[in-house]
Amino acid sequence: MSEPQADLEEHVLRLDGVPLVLTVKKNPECAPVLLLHGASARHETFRFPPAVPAARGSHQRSLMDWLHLMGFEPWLLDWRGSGRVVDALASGPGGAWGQLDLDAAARCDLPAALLRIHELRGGRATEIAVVGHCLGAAILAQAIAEGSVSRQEHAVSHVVLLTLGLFYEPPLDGRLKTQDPVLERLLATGEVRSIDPRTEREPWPEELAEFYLNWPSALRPHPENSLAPASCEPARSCVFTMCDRLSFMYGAPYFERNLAPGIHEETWTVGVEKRGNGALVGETLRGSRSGASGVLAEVVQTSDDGRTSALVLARVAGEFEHGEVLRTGAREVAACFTEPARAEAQLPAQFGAIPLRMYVHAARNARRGWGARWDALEDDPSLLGAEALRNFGALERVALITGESNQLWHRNSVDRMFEWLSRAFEGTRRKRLRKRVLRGYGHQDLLWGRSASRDVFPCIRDAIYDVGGRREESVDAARSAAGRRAVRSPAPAHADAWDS
Amino acid sequence: VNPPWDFDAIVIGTGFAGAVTACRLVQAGRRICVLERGRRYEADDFPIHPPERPGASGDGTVQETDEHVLPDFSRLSWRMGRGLWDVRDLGDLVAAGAAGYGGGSLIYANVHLRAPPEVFENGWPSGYSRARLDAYYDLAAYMLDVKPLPAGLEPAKTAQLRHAAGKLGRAGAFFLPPLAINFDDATKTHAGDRRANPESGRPRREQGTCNLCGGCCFGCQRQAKNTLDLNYLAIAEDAQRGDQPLAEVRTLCEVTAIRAVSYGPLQGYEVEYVDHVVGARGEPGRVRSPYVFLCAGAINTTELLLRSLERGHLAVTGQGLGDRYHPNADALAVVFDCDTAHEADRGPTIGGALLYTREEKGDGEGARRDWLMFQDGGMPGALEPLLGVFRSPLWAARNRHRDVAPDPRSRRQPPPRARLPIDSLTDVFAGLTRGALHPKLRFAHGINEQLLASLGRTPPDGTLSPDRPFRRWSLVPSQLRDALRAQRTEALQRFADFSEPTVARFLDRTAEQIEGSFDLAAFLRSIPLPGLDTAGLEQRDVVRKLVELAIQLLWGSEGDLVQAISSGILEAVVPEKEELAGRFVELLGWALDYRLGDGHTAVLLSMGRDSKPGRLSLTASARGAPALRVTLPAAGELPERAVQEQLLRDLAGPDAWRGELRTEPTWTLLGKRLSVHSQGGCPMGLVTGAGGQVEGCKGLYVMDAAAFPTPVGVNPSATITAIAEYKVERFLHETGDPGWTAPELATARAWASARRNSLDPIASLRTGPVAPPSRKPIGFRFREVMRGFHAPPRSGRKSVRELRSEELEGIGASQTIETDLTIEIADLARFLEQHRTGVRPRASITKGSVRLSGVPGVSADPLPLCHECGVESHLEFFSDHGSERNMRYRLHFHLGGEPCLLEGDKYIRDDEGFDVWEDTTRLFFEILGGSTGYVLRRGILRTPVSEFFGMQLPSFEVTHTDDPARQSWAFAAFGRFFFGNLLEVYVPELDRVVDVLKRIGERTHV
Repeated sequence: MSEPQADLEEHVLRLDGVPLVLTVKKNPECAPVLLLHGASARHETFRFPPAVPAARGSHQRSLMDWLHLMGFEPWLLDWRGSGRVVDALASGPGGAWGQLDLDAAARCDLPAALLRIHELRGGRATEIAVVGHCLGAAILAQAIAEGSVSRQEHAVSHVVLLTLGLFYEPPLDGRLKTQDPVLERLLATGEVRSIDPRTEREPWPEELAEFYLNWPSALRPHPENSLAPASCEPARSCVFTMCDRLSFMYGAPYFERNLAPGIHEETWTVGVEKRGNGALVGETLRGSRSGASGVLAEVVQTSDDGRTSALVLARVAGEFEHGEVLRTGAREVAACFTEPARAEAQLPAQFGAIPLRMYVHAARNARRGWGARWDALEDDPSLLGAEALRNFGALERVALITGESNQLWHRNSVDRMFEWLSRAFEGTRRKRLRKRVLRGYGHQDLLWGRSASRDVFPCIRDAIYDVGGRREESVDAARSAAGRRAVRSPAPAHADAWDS
Repeated sequence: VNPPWDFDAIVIGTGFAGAVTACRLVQAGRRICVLERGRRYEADDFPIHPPERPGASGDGTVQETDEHVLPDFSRLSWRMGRGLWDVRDLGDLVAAGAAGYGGGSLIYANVHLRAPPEVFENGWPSGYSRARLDAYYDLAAYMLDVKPLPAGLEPAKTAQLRHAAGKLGRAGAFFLPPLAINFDDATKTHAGDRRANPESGRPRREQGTCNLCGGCCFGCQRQAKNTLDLNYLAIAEDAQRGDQPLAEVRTLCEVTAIRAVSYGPLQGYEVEYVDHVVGARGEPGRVRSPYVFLCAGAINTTELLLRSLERGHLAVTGQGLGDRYHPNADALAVVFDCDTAHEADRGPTIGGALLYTREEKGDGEGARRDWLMFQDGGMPGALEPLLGVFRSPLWAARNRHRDVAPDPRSRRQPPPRARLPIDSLTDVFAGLTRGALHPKLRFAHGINEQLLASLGRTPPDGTLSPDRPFRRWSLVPSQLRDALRAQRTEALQRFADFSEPTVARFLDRTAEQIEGSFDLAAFLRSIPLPGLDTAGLEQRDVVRKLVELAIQLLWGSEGDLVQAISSGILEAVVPEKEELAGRFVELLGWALDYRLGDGHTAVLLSMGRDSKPGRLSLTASARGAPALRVTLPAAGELPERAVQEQLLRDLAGPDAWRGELRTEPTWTLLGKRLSVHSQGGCPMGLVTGAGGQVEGCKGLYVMDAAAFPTPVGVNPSATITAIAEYKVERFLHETGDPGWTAPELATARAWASARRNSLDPIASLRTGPVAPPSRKPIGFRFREVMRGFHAPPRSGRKSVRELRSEELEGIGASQTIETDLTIEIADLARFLEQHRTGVRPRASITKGSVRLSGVPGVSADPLPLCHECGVESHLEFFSDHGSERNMRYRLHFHLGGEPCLLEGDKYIRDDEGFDVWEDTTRLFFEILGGSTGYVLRRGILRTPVSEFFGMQLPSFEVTHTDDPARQSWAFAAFGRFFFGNLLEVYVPELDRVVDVLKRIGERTHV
């Protein structure tokens, strides 16, 4: 997954010794969209689920691919909250750790990245949309509020804040955790520079590890695994442990039922030609020749004639072969016509360490209820002043999107941001401010959901469709294409029987 | 706008009054600031109920998942998370209202009824009359686009109310009230269809169509309700002068203070608010304007003024701030197990209404026409399980409007709570621990069986009723329960692993949040358990404990739960905590366990005019700022409450729905009334002028229902809107826009005149008499036989002593008298309340005879008591002469064709020796000649011991109910009344004895 795709271009920005990376999927002549991942994540957050090469007409795409398809040029920034940047710093000489907080990200990373994008695009003064997720949205909001990113200087006209803005409100368990001083104490010791949710990395400081061990198992997605950090046998449980650790560090990141397969377990994708009645999701498929078996996790795509599809199989034992027939029970279901493609569980590749200073900064903000600078006093409202409102009001469009059941940032974070921004978008400008709270969604599944390209991405597109002067083009067409259905809950992306 | 002012005017609140005011001010070109404490709600963004569980898919089925999501009610409750509903405990009353942009319109039941003309006839300032207000009613109806439920859309519950009306002989009193809902094409369109501007010229936002989901009270996800943010407020927000919007709307801004300020000759106000976006820790916001309009709802408006007055911010000169508060006689009831399906979760929250008109005999002012209204309630289907809680045995027989009315002013006698069934609950506990249910127990309508079913046991006398399946759920989501089960270890310790100050701070903060909203300590105290003295429980302790408990529930195991309860609440009170804690938990679990008949649950909302007002005031509280309290007259002083309950029982009863009635839990458990229609507090004529201006505060106006001097007796939203229209027009006339009228006025008039009947259905109802409530209140009856002697008077009236000596002399041997009386208390609850309020309660003697022997010229046959001559024989109980009480008998009969009266007293007095038996069975009497008034005979009557035990005791009978729980209540209530009085006379040191007994009990018995 993390090996660069052929169509991606990487550009490294070095800011005071912090190596940021800009990744772009080129789509010249199209409006640029800058995507900001959350802290501890990396830009790959916007590249899951990977495109399946086996068949055409997929409806399940990553946000990057989807935006590309919809006629935008997606730019992905590994800012200083990225696991990749932190890894690079950890292996390098170091020295920049003192600057790894949200302030520096808002003040340095964003303006630099935006200027670089304009530069790389040939200096054209075109508008740019910025989409931030989680703390990526937080630094974006902070940058706009304090004016380090502006429409005038950086041509930022459209802003989409996913799950967070200037107002930080974790759910109940998170609130309880932020009250605990363990992180502040660790920071004060000066010995710990980052916290890594990955299990194979250096162990957590003792105090934090103990806190984790005592964390109620009712709040762990995989309680049966969570107390076995040392031995990761089988590999699956290792991933589960990481999932638990993420839930402990930030709150449950997603609802597993929503996810496209591949996060927690290795998956096999196989192009097939249909024979007879298709299999149901959840049924076990067995290869006639190899004897390998796997559970059908997803029917990714169906060709126009309905004859060929790509199947995603999970919990695979053995190795499927090209050309063999897949059966469920005695029933013949399909024949493989491509070499089955094996993919590792994605979770470890998606997350990396979070700098402790940034972690503490976010926790302070969460305790306070709203964002403020690193060294701000407890009740410092300086980011929420009239000027901040004016800065937001100068934008063309602002959209706020989150999941109704977000277990990482309570949806009230977005609700409060919305009420606050309402004061900047008055009268006829009100329609330029939108809020969408998606039923049934949590935090990361807004991006990784198996139906995200149907439920979530159109909301993002609605918010940025007219970026770069496409306003006159065809508002109605764009809107109707995006399909403004009211999303009740993410029903399965397809009927159970994939041939229905 | 000129400095120093920020705005031309400030509007506080966006409910019906606020929306109208903001809209009209903006239309007149004023630049205004609108402050609303609640959030904005968009389509599909209202809180869902119950809070979402993952895996709940659109079709209502719930997939079991292994994901753990804590239930989150924060968006439903104002106090918990600045959510939609604000429920406040105000002492005698629990007031419910909305918080949100659009105010009450977000959650109301959409009913727009005009107040009948009688409302404005008394108590309102000149200028207010239906004739005058009709133009504004029209305008409001047009703006909100109201219309009755279209034919073909009538849901089952409305049809059931219609049927019930027919069965009770009230078919003519049923009507369909106009509703502010968009029904266009509801039959054809499906989810998601939205439309804008249905009629050209009427400014509106895009709206959806009603899909009859029953969720009106939790905000319409489809925006099919014509809520204010879609019409009035939309106009206000869209208006611009040049590039500048005229209205600046700030949501999540709660006004906390209004100060009069002056800058030289300029006088105005500074309004201070808390910005909840940031929270109370942020700087308060301040805006200044010469004109401020209070539209925060009756209670909040009054509270703001009271607090401002108290702090000296305002100089309100009008007297009576806080007076004339009216809860609109609101009463909410649920009827379980109806004969037919009601499907309370289908249709708009209210579809139909039933009006009961009655003539109330006023004190001296002559007859007053009054009414009570009953409406078919609805609720979102998801709420039905919650409602089911009120079917649990905990509520059995506790649902009387009057029977359990506590009188806060009467300290002498505790309010007659329905203790007997609860004592029976104790038996149930005993039964539970022994593994079998006490066979003696019989709750109303087979609750026993349901209880057994819920406990997974077979009832003793056979199987469960097969024709009515019960779903059984638990309030605790199954996943949570599983989580609890999975984790039986050290949860408490884990909780303790957080540093102690962390936990303490967290608990304190959460407790603070919850604390203001409900009197939990009172709730707990209302669940009596033997040996458990909860009287000393402090609110803060209970709340803290409950928060801890909730955390235990969420994170801990059941064992920890027991431990938490037992170590906390009970430790101080009961030494034998283990066992009791176990029972307590069992009780809670049992009380919260609910069962439902599918769709056979009906909800009733009732309202009317209160005959006596209440009062809002600030009272000192233990912590910091004084608390707002409502004082209401005792239920016994409000005759409409009795009628209301009777009518509710009629609807629920055997003649109509054949279900089981439960009244609102706040009333049932806490004795607090519930109101969603608060009015008054700043009455016009006292506190404000007819135009709404607060006396003594130029430029400060009360626009909302707080200014209503009398209650409207119907759903008040239409009247609030109309009166706000009237007042704001008047204001504009007085402040530089003479002759200004609402731009829609003419159109509205024409539109309304074509719909006159449907817009004011009550007007066309008033013909013909309406049947009175059919069933009689619970009464009490017994027979008493007395025998004795009589003798002619010798000289004048005789002393008691002389009579007794005559009795000893044996005068009565030949001149005997025998009475056989049936004594009946027609309305036991009223009887008891009379006693409590100091009126001598009276039992009538409905049947009886007097037999005299030894009177010349009179036969020895029994002489029947006379009923036709317009006088009633009766027995008057317990006039209070300090340490002495008496019972006075008055029997009318004919002696030799002549009417005469037997009048006598039993003297209840503590003399030497054991005299209680003698005092209560001995009647000194005189027989007076009817025409002359001379004493004809006198003597003593006594109840023989054999008659007392053989006849009188077995004859005790509760009338007009066959509900065993009610019967047991009646016995207990009468017993407590009778013997309580005796004890006060004969054992005046009772209080101390009880104390001692209690302490002994605590030591020896759990």
